[in-house]
Order: sequence, then C-alpha cells, then structure tokens
Amino acid sequence: MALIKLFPQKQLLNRIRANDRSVLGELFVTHEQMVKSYIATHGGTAADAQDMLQEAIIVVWQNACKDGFALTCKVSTYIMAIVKNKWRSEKRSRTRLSTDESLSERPDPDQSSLDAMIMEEEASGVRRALDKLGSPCKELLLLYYFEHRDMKSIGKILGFGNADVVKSKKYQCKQRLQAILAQILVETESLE
Amino acid sequence: MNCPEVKNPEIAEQFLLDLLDEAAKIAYEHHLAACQRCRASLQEQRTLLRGLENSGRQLMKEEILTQARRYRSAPTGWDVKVYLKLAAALLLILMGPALIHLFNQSGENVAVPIDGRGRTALSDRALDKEKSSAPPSTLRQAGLRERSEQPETDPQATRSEKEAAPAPELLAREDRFNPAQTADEVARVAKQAVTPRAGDSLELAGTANSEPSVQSRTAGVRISTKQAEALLLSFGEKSAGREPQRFAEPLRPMDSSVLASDTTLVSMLQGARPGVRQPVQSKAQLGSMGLTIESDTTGHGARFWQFSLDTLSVLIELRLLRPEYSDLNEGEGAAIAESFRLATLKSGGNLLWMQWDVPPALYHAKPEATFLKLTSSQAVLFVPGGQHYAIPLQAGAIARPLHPFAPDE
Repeated sequence: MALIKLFPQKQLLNRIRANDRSVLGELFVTHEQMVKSYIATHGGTAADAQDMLQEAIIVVWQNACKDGFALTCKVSTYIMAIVKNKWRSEKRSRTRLSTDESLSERPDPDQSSLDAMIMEEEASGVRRALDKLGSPCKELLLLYYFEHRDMKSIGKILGFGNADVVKSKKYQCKQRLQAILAQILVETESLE
Repeated sequence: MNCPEVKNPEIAEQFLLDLLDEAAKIAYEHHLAACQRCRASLQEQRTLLRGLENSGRQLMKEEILTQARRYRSAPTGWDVKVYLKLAAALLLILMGPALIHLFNQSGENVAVPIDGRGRTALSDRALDKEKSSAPPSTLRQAGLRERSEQPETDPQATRSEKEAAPAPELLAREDRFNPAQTADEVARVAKQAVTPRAGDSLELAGTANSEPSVQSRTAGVRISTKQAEALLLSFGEKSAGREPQRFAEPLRPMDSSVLASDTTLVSMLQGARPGVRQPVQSKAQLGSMGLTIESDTTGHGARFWQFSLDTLSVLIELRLLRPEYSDLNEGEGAAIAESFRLATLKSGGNLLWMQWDVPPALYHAKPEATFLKLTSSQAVLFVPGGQHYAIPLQAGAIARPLHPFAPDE
C-alpha cells in the first residue's frame, strides 16, 4: 500500500525537471495495475500494457521537460488518456497489418515493416555509437535530442558552467558521435 | 556553390528540429533543391536524429523497468506524510472504544454484540435510561407487574431473571415480529427448497428451538472472491481534468488479518475516506460494463450494489427494495437509495463476507428465507434479520443457528 502514493502535480514536474530518475519507476509501479486492467479489458496482453505504460511515461517525461508545460489534471488521468490514445492507435495499426497480410496478392513489399527494419538498424547503430561515446557526451546528447531539454537545464544537470558551454560541448559530442557512427557503418558493411 | 552550411554548420539540424525562422527555412529548401551535397548532409542528420530518438526511447524503457524494480525493492524511507497518516490511524484505533462508547450513549444505531438471548448492550442501556427517566407511576406499575409475575424465590435468582427479561420496547417489537411465525416460514421455505435424496427423511423439527434473534440487526451477504478476481470490478468516475474519466479497477479482497471482524476498524476505515464513495450504478449499468454479481443470494431484496475501491478499504453499500414505497413504482416496490452501515467485512477462504446493519423494521420487507449452501449433509439457511441456520439433513436432526460473523466454509 505504501507503494501507492499520490503525486502532487507540481512536485512531480519539478522532480522530472530536476532529472530525478526514480520518478520513472514510481510512475510505472503506481499506474501498472490500472493500465493492465484497461489493456486487459480492451484485448491486450500484459506485455502490451507494459509497453503502453512505458510509452506514456516517456511522453509525460518529455512534456514535463518542455518549458511552459503544466498539468491541469491528475497524473493518473493524464497517463490513462495517453495510454488509451496509444492503445487505440496501436490496435488500428495491428488491424491494418492483419488486413494487409490477409490479402492474397501483394504487389509491393510491406513498406512499413521495411521502414521499421531500417529504423531499428539505425537505432542499433546509433546506440552502439552512443555506448562507445561514453559519459557525459551520451547523456548530453540524449538530454538534448531525446528529452528535448534546454541548454540551461542540461548545464544544471551535468554541472556545466552555462548554456554556451553546453552548446559548444553538444556540438563537439555530436561530431564525435557522427565519426563513430560512420566507423561502425563501415565495419558493418565490410562484415556483410 | 555557396552552401549555407559554411556559415551555419548546424543548419541541417535546425531545419529538422524546426528551429529556423520562416525566411531561413524557405531559403534552405531552395538551396537543397539544387545542392546534392547538402541533401546528403541533411539525410545524414535525419538518420542521426532518428537514431538518437529511437535509442533514447529504448534506453528510457529499460531504465523505467530498472527503476521500477528498484522502487519495489527499496524500503519506503522516511516520508513524513505516510508516518503522519499512520499516527492518525493508530490514534483512531486507540480511541475507537471510547468513541463507540460515546456513540452508543448518544442513542445511535451502532453495531453491538448480541448476547445469547438476542439482547444488545444498547438495549440494556436504553432500558436503564428509560426506567430512570420514566414517571414514578410508570415505574411503580412496571415494578408491580414484575413483582406480581415473579414467584417468591431466592432474591439472587430473581435479580438475574430480572436482568434477563427483555426490555419493554423490545417486547413490543417482538409482538410485531413473531419468532414462531418466522420459524414457520423457515420451515416452509426449507421444505420448498430442499429436495431430499431418495431414502432420506427430512425433519426440521429443530427449527423451533432456534428462533431467530429479534434484535439481530445485520443482513449478511457473501460474494465469492474467486469471482471477484476475475470479474468484479469497481467502477466510478475520477473527476480530475475537464471531463470525468471512467475507470475500472479490480476489486481486491481485504486483508483478513488486518480487518478480522473488528467493526470498530471497519467503521474507522469507512470514515477515513468518505470522499471515495462513487455514484451509484444500477445493476443494468454494471451489467453493460461486464460486471456480474451474485446480488440476490440473500433473498433480502438487495438489488443494487456499489463498489468503490480505495487503497485502504473497499466501501460497499447495500440498497434495499422497499415495498413501503410501492406507490412510487406501480405496486412493484421501489429501490430507494439507502445506505446501511457496513458492520463487517471479512475475507475468509475464498469468500468475501459482508454484513450490514439494517433496521429491524426492514426485516418484514421481504420475509423469505434463502439457502446459501446445500451440501449432502447440511443446508445453510439465511433468514431476514441476518441469522444463519445450519440444518442437518438427517432424520430427527436439530437445526442450530450459526454465528452470523463466522464463515461456515
């Protein structure tokens, strides 16, 4: 029971803005049961529920990092709204996919799965490059490009002096990442 | 060619992140149409940003699971609010008996233990109070009647018999509620409901010995929590945000070790979060949401159920069909929203056991008895008023009343 805590909205947003990563786990545990029930009653599995909740938490996190974002409802309401929308869209895409598969004649290869494969490969390459890049460049790039934080807050989180330092550091890190990625792609092509 | 990347090496990224102003964006698009190298650079940037987005997503998903595991396993730590709540709960538990005492003295209808003769502590107190406040003439008359009805025996025995005698207002109530009549009804329904197996002879002579307690003020209902896990959901509306969000959560049985059958604690939990009571849903509404409840097992006119889920307690209300309001519904009786105090909520075996305080006047609302359980050896009978009877199905066996709080599984 102690796991179930009420999150006062403002406090939650402040914690996310201060990069308190434990919020991720708390949000997951707090809403797990609610999302599981919803997904289960709407034709999904436990794995679907987990995935939907993770996606919803990511949306909450990314939005909370944006300037001027304010929650006007309870976090649980917000998360459930995201889960419902995402699950509806997921179901639609699955239905579309199964309809496509049921067609006997398919002149073109499945473009969406091809795209997904390409994206997966790209992601895997970038991830390997990020791992090679190491700290704090990896964190900096993710904070900027994935979490969409501004330079000032990145500076605060990573302990840089000011936004200009962050900006130049980000540029250097990105150049390094591009170089590593290019190297990885060459290695992959030579292996193939 | 005069590439804008020479002036601004991050122009491709800014274009992709929509950070360029409108004029710069149009100029860059014009340039892209003519510059092969810049198009390649833009594509490279697009791949990189998309890769970063997807990697970030994967990494964060992994981190969410890691943090969740850590959160589950970590001690809760010092949280002032939690400890304050615990302290408040402890204080309430400690003050519970005193509060009940005060509540009883105020004459409210509270759940009190029923003694072997079907009298309550409350009724004894009410009698004492009435006696002390009655005019001397009434007391004299009552005393005279008591004296005239009692044989001259040992004074000790006389006192104990006097204590055992029902209070005048209870006697009056007994006049309205005839135990013998109820016993007849029990026997009648039992005969109708139980089909003896070949060779068995069913004799319910013993029911007369176990007359239902008139002052029993609870109505008992049981719901299988096995079903609850699979089917029972609590429905309600969370009104946060612009529109109320309908939600459904599984109904979890309460921890019996916490609740036991301590009415004080149940009352406290009920009072602790009055705000979580949800709007009443009709059975049809619940049915349309896939909810099925054994709501009629009592035969007591329970038509509607309301479940609310709280982190601390399950709040349940009982609504009764009252024929007194038949003029509201063309003689069919009307379900008027009436809340009754949940006297007991107990989880035993696979049963969720709930009992309500129902005013004795409602016992006549639908005087039917219902079999809750029928085994090869005995039947458990429920009669209005909350009393349960175990009726052995052997010849000459005597039925015995069950303690209404004790699960008979």
